Amino acid sequence: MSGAEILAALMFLSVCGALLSGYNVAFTLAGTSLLFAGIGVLTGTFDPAYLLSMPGRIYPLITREILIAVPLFVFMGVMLEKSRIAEDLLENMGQLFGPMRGGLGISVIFVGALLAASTGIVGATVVTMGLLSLPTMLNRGYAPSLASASIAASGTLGQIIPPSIVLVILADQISNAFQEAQRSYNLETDKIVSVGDLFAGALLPGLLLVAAYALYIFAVAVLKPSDAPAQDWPEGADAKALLWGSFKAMLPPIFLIIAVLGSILSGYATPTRGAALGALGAILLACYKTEAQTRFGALSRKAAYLSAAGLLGLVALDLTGVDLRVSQTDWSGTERLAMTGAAFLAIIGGVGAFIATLRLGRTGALGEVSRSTLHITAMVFVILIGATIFSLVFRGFGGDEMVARLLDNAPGGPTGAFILVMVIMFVLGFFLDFIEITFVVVPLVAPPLLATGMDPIWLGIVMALNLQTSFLTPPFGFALFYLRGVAPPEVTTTALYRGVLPFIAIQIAIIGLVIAFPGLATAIPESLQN
Amino acid sequence: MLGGISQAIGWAFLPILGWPILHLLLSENRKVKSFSEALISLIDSLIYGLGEIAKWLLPLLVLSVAASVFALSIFGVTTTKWLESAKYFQALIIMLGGATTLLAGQHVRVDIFFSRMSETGKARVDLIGFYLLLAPVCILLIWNAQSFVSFSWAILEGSSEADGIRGVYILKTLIPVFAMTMLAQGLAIATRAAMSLSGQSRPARPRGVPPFFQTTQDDIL
Repeated sequence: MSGAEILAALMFLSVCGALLSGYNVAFTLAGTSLLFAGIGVLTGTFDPAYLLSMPGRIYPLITREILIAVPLFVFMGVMLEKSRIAEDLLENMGQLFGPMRGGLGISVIFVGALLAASTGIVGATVVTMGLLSLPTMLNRGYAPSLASASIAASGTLGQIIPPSIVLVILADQISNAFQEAQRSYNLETDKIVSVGDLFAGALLPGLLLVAAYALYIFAVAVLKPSDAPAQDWPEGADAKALLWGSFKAMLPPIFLIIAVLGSILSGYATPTRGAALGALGAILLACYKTEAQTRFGALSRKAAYLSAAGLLGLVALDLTGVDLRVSQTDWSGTERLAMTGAAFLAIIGGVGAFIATLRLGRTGALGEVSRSTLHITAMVFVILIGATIFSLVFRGFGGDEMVARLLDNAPGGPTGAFILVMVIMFVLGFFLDFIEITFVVVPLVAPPLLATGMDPIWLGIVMALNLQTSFLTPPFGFALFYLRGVAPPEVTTTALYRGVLPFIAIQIAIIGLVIAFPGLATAIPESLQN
Repeated sequence: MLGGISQAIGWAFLPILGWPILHLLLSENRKVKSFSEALISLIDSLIYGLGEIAKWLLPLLVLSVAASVFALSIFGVTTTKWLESAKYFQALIIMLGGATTLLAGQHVRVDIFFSRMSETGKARVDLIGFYLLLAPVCILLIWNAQSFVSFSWAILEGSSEADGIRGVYILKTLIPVFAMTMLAQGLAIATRAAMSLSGQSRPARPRGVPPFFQTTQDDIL
């Protein structure tokens, strides 16, 4: 090891140590790296010219087209969160399936998965679900360990079930790493990796996880009914009304998720545009769900409804294949007619969306959602900036070559290197968030791994599953911290830790499945590409 | 010329970064204390106001991109400027939102240990972190951005597309602006930490800085 490489290794360890102090992650990454760059300059092992390129490295990050999907997806998630969809759904489903053994627990898993898919933010899902359903589950006699663990587990689904922002970020990094592998290692392939690919790849493993979680709760309810007891049918409740209520509560978010995912996976829209449609849908939905107290309120609810109908009609009209491009010169009779209709629908859609936005602005909801979205977006990108400065210095010391050599010489060849990377990521997941690990670790380890011919989509999905498991693992799992924060005192930490063990076993089993049958991750993206 | 003036202003403001240390040394002095309070509330309200303006770019971004999807994929109508505007929104949101996020305490910390620290311990981390980590990064970024930005201004750099928005030089200027706002907010937080370490009560944060999602474990534990 050369002097520069020793400094690179020391720098990595120091960053990990400094992070534990609790100063904000982005500037700990960047600041510690700069201190080491200073030492490097003094000892003649680091070329200060590297630092000059800092602004030139940051500029592309803040204008990268694909990452515009991040604020849009966050906006959609926060808006849906605020529109109290989860509350409605949980109340209805809980009553409907409560009388079934383990029914409430399974409802929680499904609502958690749905909420996760729409918000994609782990902390948000865990906190909302914890506040919402944990007291209910405890009141109805669920064992604290089972109740708390199933909420923590379903909260982590937000990372793996598309559309999640972590998959957007991971796809961006994996795709860069894949290009790097082609450049530096002469990997010959004509494949590229897109956000849509990772979304498609995560679909099957994510749904498998939901099914396995539900199955586990069902098994507990059968084998040990005292842990997940059935409830009495609520007095005076009408099964039909409850069914209709659940359906009505479930339809809009499911429809929105399918529309967003569908438009991205089918190639109709880029992820950024799909995310914008999702965010617009969330605005309309939130406006519709806000109780009207004034005449403007009542009007705006109708406007939101009509706007959604108009925009859907517009898409439906477009899907019939009629040519609506305004630039054409050969207008046929049907095209003229369709164009008139389309213009009408577009005006309804546009004006309605505008009124709905205005209304949410007036109630204050829009301002709050925008502020939260601003915070989350800035948080993500400032970490990206910090991680970029870290990488810049690390590369300046030749650290990337050192990592590549380390992985090349790992015992057991590519498999050994893969296992090594997974173990490191799992451990880092104890104290770093998904975003930091993706920005710092993936650019270093993914190119050499991909150069051995691994499938990039598969690698991304296994990494995502691995990190998700890490967030659930005691004593440091992030999801556990979040839940601990909102859980009532009768849920002891020990009970929570005991409760998540079976869920960790499920996670490991699914990771094993995806490793044994890579098709679980790659089949859907491949069939979509053809 | 413009560069020279802003450089001079920068040098003139540099000494104020030492204020938190001065406060620690002279915490008993009433004038020092009231200057600290004024400094914190000035920076806080400026940065908070900037964030409150910047946040409205988000609904604009949503509506603009959503509208462009319908216009493009159905009516085949689009302009390069429209498509490029999303990049401008994005850069403005990130670069202007960074400091207000710092003010709101929404930048992620690793708080396995931090959450268990005493008030003094937390204040120490904030103060040392400012001088050792945040300030050097921001100052170096401002320093390095000089040639990067002034070159862009010199040619009034525009889009690489012929009919794109001619404002790349403004986007590039956002990088030092980001560093300056972060530096200012970091200074306010460090001054707060210095007040806390001197056993003084700290001025309240501006109204409406609610913890929402990224509730740090610190907030909920």
